[in-house]
Amino acid sequence: MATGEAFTEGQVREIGRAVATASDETGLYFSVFVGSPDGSARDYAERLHTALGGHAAYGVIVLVAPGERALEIVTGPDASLRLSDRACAFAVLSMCSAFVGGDLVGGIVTGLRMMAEAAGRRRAIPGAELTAVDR
Amino acid sequence: MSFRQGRAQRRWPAAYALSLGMIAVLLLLATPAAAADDSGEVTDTGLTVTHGWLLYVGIPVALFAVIALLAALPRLIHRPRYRPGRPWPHDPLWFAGPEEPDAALAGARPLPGTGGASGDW
Repeated sequence: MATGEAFTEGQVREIGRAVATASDETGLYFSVFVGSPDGSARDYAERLHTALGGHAAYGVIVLVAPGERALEIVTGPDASLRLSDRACAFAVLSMCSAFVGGDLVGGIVTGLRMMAEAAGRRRAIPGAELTAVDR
Repeated sequence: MSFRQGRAQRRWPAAYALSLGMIAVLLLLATPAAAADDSGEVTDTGLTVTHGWLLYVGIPVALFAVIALLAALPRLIHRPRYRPGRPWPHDPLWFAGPEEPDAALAGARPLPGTGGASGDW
């Protein structure tokens, strides 16, 4: 997908690294979308989440819409056992305060780090329900 | 917004204080040069007008310019940052997305049982 000129090479690498680190640490599948939603932000984020295909169940999608000033986090059914809505709300709060200051990259990286910490280090074993309980 | 303003308000008095301080130091340093030597004879021929201007005006202005340039350099080098409220004309960017985003999105319907959070700024 074309980069446009939204971010520098270094910034793209920084976000990419943060996404990879969050996924590696938690075993969940983190994915970040930066762009304008087609329709309502929540609906679009949920469609993006479904589009993760096999990763959707334990996937976490972060939709950042700078033009609409909207932020959405969608967690899959398995992922939401590890990453509570409350933890997501904390991440949203922190990310939004960075975005208000104009710091998109910093906000995204911080949000991913917060969610990864909240989800804990244990690897998710798809189908195993124990992973939700012990941390 | 409040972040940017907060920082700008703090930075300017500091810049003024620094440049005023520089001028004061220069003036202090320059005073002994006009003093007489041991014999009491005044050997100093005095500053010409050009030298005076260079010393007391030229150097401080040059210093101010250099410091201002150094302060502005990071912002000149970096691309324009995102500003809330401005439109976002860039192509969408999807990290760790599917191989073929358009195809994957085409028939995508929301899954039941998802969680998450929303926010705006």
